This record gives sequence, structure tokens and C-alpha cells, in this order.
Amino acid sequence: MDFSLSIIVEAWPTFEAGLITTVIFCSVAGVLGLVLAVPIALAQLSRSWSWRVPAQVLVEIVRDTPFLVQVFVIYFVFPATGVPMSSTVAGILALTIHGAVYFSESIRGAILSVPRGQVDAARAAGMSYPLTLRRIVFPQMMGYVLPPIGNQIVGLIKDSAVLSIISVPELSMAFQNVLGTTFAAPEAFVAVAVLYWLLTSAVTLAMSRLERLTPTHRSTEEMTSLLAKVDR
Amino acid sequence: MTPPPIIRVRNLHKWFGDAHVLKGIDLEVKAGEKVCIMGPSGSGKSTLLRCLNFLEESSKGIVLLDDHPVGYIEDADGKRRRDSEANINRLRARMGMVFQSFNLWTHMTAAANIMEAPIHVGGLSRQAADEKARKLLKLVGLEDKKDAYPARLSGGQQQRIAIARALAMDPEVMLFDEPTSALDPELVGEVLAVMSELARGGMTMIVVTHDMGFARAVADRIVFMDHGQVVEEAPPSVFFEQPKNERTIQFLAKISSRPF
Repeated sequence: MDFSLSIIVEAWPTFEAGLITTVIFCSVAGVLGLVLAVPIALAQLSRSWSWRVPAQVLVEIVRDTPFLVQVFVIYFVFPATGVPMSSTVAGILALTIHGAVYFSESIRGAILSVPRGQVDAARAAGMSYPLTLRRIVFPQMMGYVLPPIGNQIVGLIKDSAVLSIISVPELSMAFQNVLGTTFAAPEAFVAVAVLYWLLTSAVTLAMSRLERLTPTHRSTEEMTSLLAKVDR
Repeated sequence: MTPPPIIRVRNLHKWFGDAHVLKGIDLEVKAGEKVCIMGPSGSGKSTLLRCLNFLEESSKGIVLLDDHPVGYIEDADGKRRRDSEANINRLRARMGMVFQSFNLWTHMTAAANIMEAPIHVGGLSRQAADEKARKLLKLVGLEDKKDAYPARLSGGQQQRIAIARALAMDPEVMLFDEPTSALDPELVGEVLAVMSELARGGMTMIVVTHDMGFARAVADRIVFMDHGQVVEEAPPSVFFEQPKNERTIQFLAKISSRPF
């Protein structure tokens, strides 16, 4: 079998451009998604149904339909209703909404993981709900929220490959281009797999660093239950 | 002249789904008074205490702190409406609460736990709050644990810090929800000592407890609850020596025959 690294070297500019596009799309969508995820999670936990119901509807729609279909809907349905849509905007929008919904589920779970007594103590001291979230709940939920968020960022990177279907020039698109011009299937396959793996490994590494930075002034019982959750 | 009641509870009801856990509670506590609420588990003691500062929302009836309705306001024809969050928070800050499981904020040091509400609710400067924390830590005998995180403290120490935290907003009333029930027996004494000290200082205290020794020594009045009702109310001497109600007699017989 012929396996020629020089083919990968020659096609590198194409791969590099794709990789950069993937990183940019995922970074923008990741950050926007995280920012949007907090209000979605809080709306789902709201006592008032006028907040809860719209958030739940959004979460269900996004969770219960394939990402590919979501991309199509945003890219093809919006222009049909008169909203102009480029593949870049559609790609980032789809990835952001997708990320926000999955992040929000992790954040909601993490908020609920903070023991009820911690919130009771804050409210009993006269702290408002927003103040309680900011001072008590958010700092304590970091240990619960970082592991699933890390997994979801990795998921986001892998899902971004779908955007090649609407011609976003990201890594999978670059791979298809290389494949089309060189006809060197094994080399291109290996190259694209390794590049995705490097990207997701970097995220995983960064997240575990971040986890180690969060305060671990927890009781041993809490740590044990926390580790049990991470294992699952 | 007797002082006016600082806490008034009128016809308070609470349903959890179909379970009717408070069945029309009436209670008055005067400023400076120490009231112990006793009763078998499931009698509604803790629920009643949590309704006083609106951690639990009652289903019917009204709670007044110094004539201000807490949580729900009753209009002229008896309909209740929820008070504004700001008012609820303000009233809560006037009552200190101590929990069975301490509930110290795990990500903060002992001093930070005490300073949190004075700074962020009371608007105190960091310096003034630090000074206050120092005083309160001294009061509970834990000056040397200022920078310790809760996980590094024993249950008794955690509960004493929790008492200091509850005192930090200069509350008019202190609510204790079984403050010694989660403690190892040898740690109960140090917490009760701090509470007795507080009582001697004239603090108004409402204490849900199973500790007969404490109730006998400190309480002005025992309120005995069973099945969501106040069954008997009496000074400790009468309550423990000449209980009138059949259920009180049974309860006292059970807890005093407990093996140690």
C-alpha cells in the first residue's frame, strides 16, 4: 500500500485554512453558547411558567432534532421568509443555539447539584435570589459544571463538521477538497482524523487544567458524590 | 406592662400536596422570650419554623414580624397576595436562622461566612464587617478558626460559626431548627453553651429541639406540637412536671425513657 506523507504536506495550506475556520466557528459559537446558556438554564428553573415554558420548548426542539436538520432549517428556511442568510451566519447561529441548549442542561443540573441548604442559608440571611446565585450557587457549581461542559465543547467541535453541508470552509470541507483534488483517500482520512483529535485533545487538556483550579474546599462526602457523577 | 409580641402567627396552614402538615397554628412570641417547640417527628415543628421567615410558603394564614406581614399580605376581605421580593428579603434579614445541618457556605472561610450578609445585604464596609466577624467569633469562642474552611471544622464548631453568621445581621429574633440533632453527643454541649449565653443576653429565641435539658433550663415556654397542631403550651416547670394533654404525656414518657 502506498502511503505518502508528502501528499499531506502539499495539501497542508488547505487543511490549515479549514482548521482555522473550525477553531473560529467553534470559539465564537462556544462563547456565545455559554453566555446564552445561563439565562436558558435560569428560565427553566424559574417559578413562573412564562419563563419556563419557552425555554423548555427551545430545549426540546433542539435536543429532539438532528443537528443536520437544524442547520438546513436555519440556512434554507430563513431566506425563504425574507431574512438574508450567509453560510457563515447560518453556521455560527446553528452551532451557537445547539451549544447553548446543551450547555444550559449542564448548567441547570449543576445549579440543582448545589445542596438546598446552601441556598436556604443565603435566603434566610436576606440575600436576594440573584445575589444568592452570584455569591453562593455559581461559585459552588463550578466543580459540577466543568466536566460536562468540557464534553460538550468536544461534541461541538465534532458537530461543526456538519457545516460542510452548507459550504462552510471548515476542516471537513477542506478534507473533501483535498480528497477531490488528490484522490489520495488514505492520507486525507488520516490527516483529518488526526487534526480533529489534536483539537479535541487540546480542549480536554485545557478543561482538566481549569477543573484543577476550581476551589476544592468541599467535604469528603461531597467530593465522593461529585466523582461518582463524573465517572458516569 | 408586658412587651408586645414580636412574632405573631395567625391560623397558619400548610399543605404539601394532600398532606396537611400545619393545621391552623396560632402563636405569639414576645420580645426577649425564649420559646422551645417540641414534638414528635412529622409534627410540623420545622415547617412552622421555616414558615416564620418564609423559607417555606404557608398555604393559608399569616405571620407577622413586629406587625409586618412576612411573605403574604392579607387585605381587608382576607385574600392573600405575595409581598415584593425586596420586602421579603428585608424582613428575613431581621431574623437569624440556624439549621440542623449547619449549612455553612462551603467555599468560604468561617470569617467570610459571617461577613457575607453584612457586606452584601447590610451594605457594611469590609473593614466594619471584619471587625464584626472578629467580635462574633470571640462570642462563640472560635477566634482561632477565622480562616478555616467549614470542611476543616468539627460539627460543633461549624454550628457555632453558623450561630455567629446568623447573628451578623443583628437579628431581632433567632430561629433554631434542631441545632444539635446532627451533632455527635460530645459536641452538643458547646453549642448549647453558646445558645444559653445568647439567651442570657436577652435574645428572642424560637428553638425547635428534642433537648429536654436545654428546654428546661432556658425556655420561658414550651410549645408542644403533634400532627400539625399546637397541643399544649406551658412554662417548662408545668410542661415537664404536670403535663395536661394525653399526647404530651405519651411523648415525654417516650423521650425520658430513652436509653443513653
